This record gives sequence, C-alpha cells and structure tokens, in this order.
Amino acid sequence: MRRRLAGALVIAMAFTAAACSGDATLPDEVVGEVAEATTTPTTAAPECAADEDRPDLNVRTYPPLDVDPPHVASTGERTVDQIRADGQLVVGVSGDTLLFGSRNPLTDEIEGFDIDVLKEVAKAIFGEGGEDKIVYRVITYAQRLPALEARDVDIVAHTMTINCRRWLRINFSSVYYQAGQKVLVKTGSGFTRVEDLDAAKARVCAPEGSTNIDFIRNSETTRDIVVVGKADITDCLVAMQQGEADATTGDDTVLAGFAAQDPSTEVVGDAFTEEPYGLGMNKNDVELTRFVNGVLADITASGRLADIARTWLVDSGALESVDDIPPVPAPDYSRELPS
Amino acid sequence: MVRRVATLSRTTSAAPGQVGTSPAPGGPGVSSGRGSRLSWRHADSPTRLRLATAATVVAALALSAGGFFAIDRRDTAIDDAAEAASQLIQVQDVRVQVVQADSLASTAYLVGGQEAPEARAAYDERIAAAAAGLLAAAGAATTQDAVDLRSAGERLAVYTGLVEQARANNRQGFPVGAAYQRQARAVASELVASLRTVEQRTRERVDDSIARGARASWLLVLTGLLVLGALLLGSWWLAVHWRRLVNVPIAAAAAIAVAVLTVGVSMNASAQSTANDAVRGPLSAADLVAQARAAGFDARSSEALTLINRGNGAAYEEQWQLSADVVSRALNESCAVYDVGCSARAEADRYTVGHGLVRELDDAGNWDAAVDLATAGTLDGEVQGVGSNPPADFADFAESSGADVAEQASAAQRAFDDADGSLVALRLAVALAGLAIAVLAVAGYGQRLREYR
Repeated sequence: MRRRLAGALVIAMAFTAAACSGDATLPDEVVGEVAEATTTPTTAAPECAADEDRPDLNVRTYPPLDVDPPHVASTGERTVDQIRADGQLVVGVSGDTLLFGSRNPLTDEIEGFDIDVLKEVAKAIFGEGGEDKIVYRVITYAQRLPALEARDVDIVAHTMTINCRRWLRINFSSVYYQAGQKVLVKTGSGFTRVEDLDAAKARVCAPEGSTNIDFIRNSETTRDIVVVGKADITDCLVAMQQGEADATTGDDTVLAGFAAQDPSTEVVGDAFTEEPYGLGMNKNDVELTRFVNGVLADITASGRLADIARTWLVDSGALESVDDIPPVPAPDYSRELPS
Repeated sequence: MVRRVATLSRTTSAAPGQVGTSPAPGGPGVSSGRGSRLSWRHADSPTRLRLATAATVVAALALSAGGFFAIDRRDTAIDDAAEAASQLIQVQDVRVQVVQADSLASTAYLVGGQEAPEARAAYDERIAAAAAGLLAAAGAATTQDAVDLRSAGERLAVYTGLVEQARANNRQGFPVGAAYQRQARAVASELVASLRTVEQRTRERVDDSIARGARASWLLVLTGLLVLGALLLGSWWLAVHWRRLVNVPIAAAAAIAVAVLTVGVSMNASAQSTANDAVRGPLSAADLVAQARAAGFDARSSEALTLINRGNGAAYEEQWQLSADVVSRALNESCAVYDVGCSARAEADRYTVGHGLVRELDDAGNWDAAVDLATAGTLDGEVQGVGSNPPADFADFAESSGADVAEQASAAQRAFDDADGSLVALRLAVALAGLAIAVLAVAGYGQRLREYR
C-alpha cells in the first residue's frame, strides 16, 4: 500500500516536472553600440568687449603678404609652402547654398561664388590648373569654426560673416562680399518689408543659433513676428513650401538662391543688417591669411572678383543688374600682426 | 494519508453489523454538521458504495472537462504563439522593405538625374510591398499594434511624398532637395522606430503565449491524479471489504486513467516542447537574421548619406557603425547558436571592408572615386573583386539573409503546425476517456451494490 502510494507520488511529480519544463523565449532585440567619439573639452566662448565689437573694427585684417623678406613659420602654423608641398588645398564649403556653394547634381561638381574665389586662391598657390588641387569638404554652419580649429580644413569659404567673436578663434581675410539680412516671402503676398511681416504677425523662419534668428527675436521692429526655428536654413524653404512659415529671413545671398529654386518666392525690402563675408583661416595661419588677402587684392584690381559676382548673381537672374550688387568696402589692413 | 486509510479500514470492517440500523440511506449531503467523514463513518455499505460511485463519477467528469479545457488552453496558447510569430516576421518584413526603399532612394539621390530605371522600379516595389504588408499586419494586430501600424502607414505616405519632392528638386539641380531627403530620412526613422516597438511587443506576445501554454497542463495532471487516486482507493476498499481480488471495471477505469495521464501529459508536453523548440530554434534565428537584414539596409542608406554630405558624413558614418554593429552582433549569434546566417555574415564582413575603402577615398578628398565604388563597385573604371565591391557584396548579403529568413520562418511555422495538430484529437480523447471512467466506475461499484438488493 505504502509502495503504491509512493509510486503514485513519483508519477505525479514526474508529470508536473514534464509540464513545467523551462519556457522558451525569443532573444532580446539586438541593439548596436559604437565607441564614443573622444570630444575635446569645450571652454567657455571668449567674448568681445563692447567697444571692440564694431563693424569698422571687425573687418580689419592683416596686410597682404610681403614676399620679401621670406616668411618664417611660427609654431603650429601651416604655411603656403607646406600646402604647396602637400599638393592639395583642403577647403570647407557649403553643399546646399545655391549660387555660393552647392553641389550641381547634374555634374556632381560643387560650384558657386565662394568656390570661384577659392579657385583663385588655389591658382595663386599652385599656379595654372591649381583649382584641381582643391579638396572639398562640405560642412555645416556650426562646423565652420571647429573645422578650422581642428585643422580639418585649411580655408573656409562658406558665406561667413566677419565678426569680433569669431576673430577671437580664427583669422579672416578682407571682405570679398557685402551681404545683408533680408526677407524671402511668397510672390504676391503683399509683404514688401520686414515691418509688414511684423504688422501681420507672420510666421518667419530662420535657422536656430544664427545671428538672423537672434535679430528677429530681439529687435523692436520684429517683436510681433512668430519665429519658426529650424536646424538648417534650407529647412526654412521647405517650411515655406509646406505652409509652415510665411517668410524666411537670412542673408540676401542665401535667399537669392532660394528664390532661384522656387519661382513662387521673392526677396523683398532693404537689408536690415550688414554681413561682410570673409574667408576663414586657422588662428595660427597668419602667413596664409596675408597670402589670401594678397590674392583678394589682386582679383579685385583685375576685375575678376566683379566677374565672379556678375556670373553668380546677375547672370543667374538672382539680381537684375550689376548695379544691384552691393559695393565691397575697401580693405582695411590695420590689424596688428601677432608678435 | 496512511493513518486515514487505517481509520477507513476499521470503520469498514465494522460495517456489516450496522446494516439496517443506519439512518435513511442518504446521499453525500447527509450530515449532522460534522462533515462527510462522519457521514461515511455512520453510513451503511450501500450508502458508502453510492458515495464512492458519486465521488468517482464527479472526479471522472472533472477529468473529462478539466483535461479538455487544459489541452484546449494549450492548443490556443500555441495558436497564439504561432500567430504572434507570423506577425513578427511580417512586421520585420515591412521594416526591411522600408529601409530597403530608403537605401534605394538615398543612393538614387546620390546619382542625381541619372537614376537607373530598375532602381526606380525596385523602390516602387518596396514601397508597394511595405504598404501591403502594413495593411495585412494591421488586420491581424492587437488594438495597440493596430494603432501603431496605422500611424506607420500614414508616415509611409508622408515619406514617399518627401522623397518625390527631393527627387524633383534634385533633378532640377536645386539643393533644397537634400533638405527634403533629410526630412524623408527622419520620417523613415520614426516609421522604423514604431515598427520596432510593434516587433518588441509581438516578441513579448510570443513569449507570453508559450508560458501560458506551459502553465495549462496542471489542470489535466490534477484531475487525472484525483481520478486515479479515487480509483486506486476504491479498488483497494473493494478488495479488502468484499474479499474480491480485482474489480474488473474499476481496474479498467484505473488503467484508462493511467493511460490518459501518461499519454495526455506526454503528448501535451511534447506539443509544448515542439513549440518551445520552434521559438528557441528557427523563430529565434529568423528574428536575428531579419534584424541583421534591416540594420544592413539601414547601413547602406547611411553610406549613401555620408556621400551626399560630401566629405563630411561623420554623423551618418556613426549611424553606419551603429547599424553595422547590429548586423555583426545578430549574425554572430545566429551563426554561433543556430548555424544560420553564417554566409550572410561573411558577405556582410566583405561589404564592411568595401565600405572602409569608400570612406577612405572620401576622407582623402577622392569623392568621385568613393561614389563610383559605392554605387557601381568600380575603382578607376575597373570593376572590383571580392572584398572591395560594396554594391555586389551587399547584394549577396541581401540575397542570402533574405533566403535565411524565409527558410527559418517557414520552419518555425511548420513546427507550430506540428505542435498544434496532435492536440485537437487528444482533447477529444481525454474528454471521452473521462466519460468512460465514469461509466466504468458506475458499473464497478454497481456490481457490489447489486448484492444488497
């Protein structure tokens, strides 16, 4: 009897064990990992004193290079000779600013005003055919200064406004184009100036972190404007096409490129800021900066710079005539050379 | 237990003297308020026989119903697991179609107006397949999944609109097309994220159903043991009290109970283990390779975006690395554990080498060569061999991983069908066996009861 009961218990336990064997589960979702990029510690952005931050002071640059006596390279400096020896000039440009720096999808070439100026610099460094020695790096607005500081590029030509704060981190050439902030509106919208947009409480788009968005956020004349912030200014054109914004504010150069891409938009009104464009170089590259200033002086004198402006701004239809091209101020070479 | 049996034996041996002196032969409900043990003690033999019959019949009916219910529950659980598994595979397929379409669109953007008609046709096919897959998946989905799948469908429509805008602008040479392409990519990422949420929930549904199936056995075991115990106790009681060695119907009933327990539990367990094997084996392998496949196409798309952002694709290169890591982890596991996806892994490794070369060329400023290598597999006009021909190596990976997923998915489905098939018949057999035990118990005790008439 006892044995039989014990037997029954064993059977029961065996059945229960069979019934409760471990349940199968699917493996967890596979999640990838990448080694974290080493980031350079960021230091607080240097500030300019109010009395230093004046348009007339900001555009001062180093005098064009005097080839005699020969330049002696300082520590950490990349000289024109080194660039020549490397056989390539690495430049940081925009890939989507039509008329100034954009990839032409039909030819796969990057082209525009900024690109043509760089080609002149390359020709001066390498001689005839020097433009073929340019290596293009498409960079974003935010990468312009870091790319120079990290020496990823030798020169940046990227619709970059010369200002005091940037001068603390990089060198600028003399002004090669005088841009200004304007507004792009839909054709026939009736808006002719930024004040009209303010009165209509219109939605105006600008890229986050830009001087353009700062202006419409802080200026008295634009306080009723509804600001639409986007990561990139090109996203503003998309926002207008998708009906998310009524207008876009930015440099007239960029807006002219937008108007060329979308015939139902137009640039209106006078510029309400001054945006002098310069080429950017590493802070240590004083010789290169002076060399570039020499090239700019030469192509201004020869009329080549005016030709480039006409090709990209008038022949493209962005401006009606050469008279509409804003005059470039005479270069100011009074910046003191670092000791 | 033993003590209680001894008590019973004492009372039963005193039983004959009490014949006729007992209160009216009542059913099991007769009691003085002190419980059934007392009623049994004071009952006469015919009453006790009736009580024993009733208890055994109740236990047998419980086995009939409980066994049927337990097996039915397991059957349903395995059905649910199979359905969730097929849903998982379907949703993963939609995800692959979407990332594949996106990789075609990104690559097409890269070659501008010269998009090959077959690339365009392939893109259209992927989008159509993704839309159809979403529709089919939404039909079989839970409420929450259906909401996510519907929003994925809406995003797919937005995505295709943005890609068309990007294309139209790109063809006219307008750089605003790149902004549309970026926006499309962002929408595709959201779409993929919502599909991954559905996938993860579906994985949990598979696991839950399998666990539910495993738990379903206890009722069969419990009712089976109850019946068996009642029959063994009854036959021992009959043997001792009426000096019969064997009561044939009761013994037969006990044999049936043993058979039900043995066959029922073992078949039930084997169905469960077949379902477990389907999950642990082909379904896990299919899941891993499908994830690798989706990540692979995502990597290919990121590669194109690194080149669209000429010389400065750092952000997309990081995405490439992330996707490539998923490919390698998933395929390492599927190859090591399931011996599936091993050739896809080798092809993915070859593609990785080629991608490295593409990045090297682009980083060195040789953008045109990088694009040629990435899109046509040529370097300086020469078609490259194994190890440095990204489009060809990637196509191999895409093909063999696709074949692996299809093969494993259908193996999993077959296993679920096998697990399921035997249970339908078993369910009925157990129910009938319970009824048979009840009938035999009535017959067995009835033989003794007739002696008192």
